[in-house]
Amino acid sequence: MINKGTDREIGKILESNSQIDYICEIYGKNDVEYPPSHSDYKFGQFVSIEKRIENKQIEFVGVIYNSQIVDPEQGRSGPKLSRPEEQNMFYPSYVDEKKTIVGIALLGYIESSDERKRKRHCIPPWTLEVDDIVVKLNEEEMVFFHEIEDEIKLGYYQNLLGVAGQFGKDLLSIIITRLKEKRPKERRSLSLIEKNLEYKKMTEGM
Amino acid sequence: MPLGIALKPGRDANEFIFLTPDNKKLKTGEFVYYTAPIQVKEHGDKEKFRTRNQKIYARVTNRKEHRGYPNEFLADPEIKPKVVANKLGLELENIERYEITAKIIGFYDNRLNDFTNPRIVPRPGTPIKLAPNSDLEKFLTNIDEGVASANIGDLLHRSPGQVNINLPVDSFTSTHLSILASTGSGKSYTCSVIAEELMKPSSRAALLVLDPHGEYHTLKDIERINEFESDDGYSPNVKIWKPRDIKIRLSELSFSDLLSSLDSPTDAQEPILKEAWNQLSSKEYIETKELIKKCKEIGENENNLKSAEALEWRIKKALSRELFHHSHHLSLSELLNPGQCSILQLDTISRRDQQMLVNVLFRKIYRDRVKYEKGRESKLDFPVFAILEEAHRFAPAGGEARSLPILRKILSEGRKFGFGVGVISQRPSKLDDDILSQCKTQVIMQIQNPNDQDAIQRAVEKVGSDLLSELPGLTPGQAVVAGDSVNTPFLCRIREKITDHGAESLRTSKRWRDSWRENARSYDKVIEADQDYGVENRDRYL
Repeated sequence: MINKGTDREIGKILESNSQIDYICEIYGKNDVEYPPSHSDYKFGQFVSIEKRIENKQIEFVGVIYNSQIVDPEQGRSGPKLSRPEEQNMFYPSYVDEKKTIVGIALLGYIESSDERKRKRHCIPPWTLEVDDIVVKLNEEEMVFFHEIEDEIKLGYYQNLLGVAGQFGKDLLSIIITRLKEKRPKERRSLSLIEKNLEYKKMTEGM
Repeated sequence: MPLGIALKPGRDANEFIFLTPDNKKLKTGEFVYYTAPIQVKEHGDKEKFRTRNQKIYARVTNRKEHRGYPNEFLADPEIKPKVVANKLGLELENIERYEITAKIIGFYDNRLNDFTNPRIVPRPGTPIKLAPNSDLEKFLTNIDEGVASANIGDLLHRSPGQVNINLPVDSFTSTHLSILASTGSGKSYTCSVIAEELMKPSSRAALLVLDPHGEYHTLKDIERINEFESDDGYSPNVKIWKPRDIKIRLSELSFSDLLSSLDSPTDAQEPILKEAWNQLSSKEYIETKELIKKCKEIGENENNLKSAEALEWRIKKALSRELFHHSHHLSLSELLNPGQCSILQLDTISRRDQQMLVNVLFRKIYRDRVKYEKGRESKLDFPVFAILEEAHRFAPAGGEARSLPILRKILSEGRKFGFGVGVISQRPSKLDDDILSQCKTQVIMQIQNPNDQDAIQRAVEKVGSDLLSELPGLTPGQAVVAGDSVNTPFLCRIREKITDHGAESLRTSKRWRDSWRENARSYDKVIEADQDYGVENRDRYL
């Protein structure tokens, strides 16, 4: 069950690279009263974007797999006459444009209808829209998304490796480590997948 | 229901490869079929052809994985790969796919009662099905109406009793049979099963068993089992000859038999012996002393008495062996009769004498069979089938044995004269190649020795390399059956004997334990001298 609250909103959708690869602009201090802290949009943070589609409540679930910081002032030369603390006053538009953007890989969605929640690890058939609000998920909600038929599943495994590229294996290792902690009974089978990932990461290209 | 789907042609012209998810039924040696349009001749019209859909049968020769779980899923023995696959969203049932190579046998041609190879592999996408039990039972062996058959077991790949294997008795008893297997894999058991079948009312064979280990005495049970009797009064007769009862009459020996029995006769002695033998050989009974006397007479006439006298001890030594007798012998009319199984126990007879016996006896039977077939008076007006256990003793490869020439003759020509031989051996590589290759029906059981496997491959052209590769892995009672009595080679499970089996392995450890206990008991019986009964106590008390 994913509960949304304003303090959990971390940003909004800016653009997409593909059906499951989105870019989110993280709120800054000029966007919201309580901007998210660094730990709210860390590498491996699970997020959701809730939308109503065809009379169904759909929660798209994704994970932050990359980040980028943007500073339009970078490269500007010449002396600045004002003191740094006064610069905001003289260059307000540039200050606003200093942004952190993160890449979100969509892993699936949760479809809610009649008090039933159906979790799917797959490419969602629908697309998000620009300015859709991105909400962070807590650890329980993250585990909930992985529990299908009383078992932890990583059905998005191949899709995530495809989208996250060079960070895919590390990202999956982080997710598995967290799942192992939450589900000790499945530690052994999850460890097997994790070890395979580590082995591949260390040996590929040797 | 199709089990697979044709993928592509195989490496050989008669091979094709098909894909299947099946991981249980399609083992090497199993039979499958597909249907294809074949031009067949119209019944009664030699010129007209008609295209009909025919079942084309093929035998599975190899199996390899086409698709399966990645190696990474198999890293932890306690975690099933399916569990890992499920975790990663791979929730397909039976993800494994196998590439099966099959060798085309052909469609069954009812006019020929045999398979005809269409010489074309199935088109990709053709469904491949498991051959039905009823088809296999009908087509694997060729049993004509009214012909006796020997039920030796059932098809190994199917559940017990589903596909019975019936060998045509006429075929394997006339064109010779070989049973090749290493020790303990069931060759004498299989041989006994065949003997049982031959003694059933449908065959009533004249059967001779040469039994060097005394293992076949349990066949005597045949006489008291109802299954072997029939309403027309038939009841089989099983006669056992003990070693002491087995004799060769001296007059049955040929000169070369006699010469080979003697210890290195000299060049001067040989013509004397030959002349003496020629003069006596027409007699029904020849005594040793008579032969010696005749040699002396001839030696004296030819002024070579010394050589003749030197022959005396050689003749005495050779012919005093228990096997030879001036009058007793194995009478053919006593030994061979339809519905009679005669077992000659050779276990205490020396190997050299066993060879001599086979030489003399088989020659006698062969001559009588030739006489009969050529319309002359004969004691054997019926065909004979002889089982030769430890055949490598009698027909050694590259070796010399008195019995080898006659066996070669019978194996190559006996078919025409109704004298068939069942050659049983645990060392095919030590068996004469000609003998082995003349056995047109083969029952081959577990064989691990590579030399023996090579010998089989050389001699038995109809067994494919795929089936030969199965030989080391066969368990006791499983056999490859091939040759002229069957339409295609297959793996068979030999049926259980009706009679008891007499060739169990020695229970060595039990015998050791029993023997130790026996010794221990006898030790207990030792009584101290002064405690023995009647011993006077002379101890003086101080």
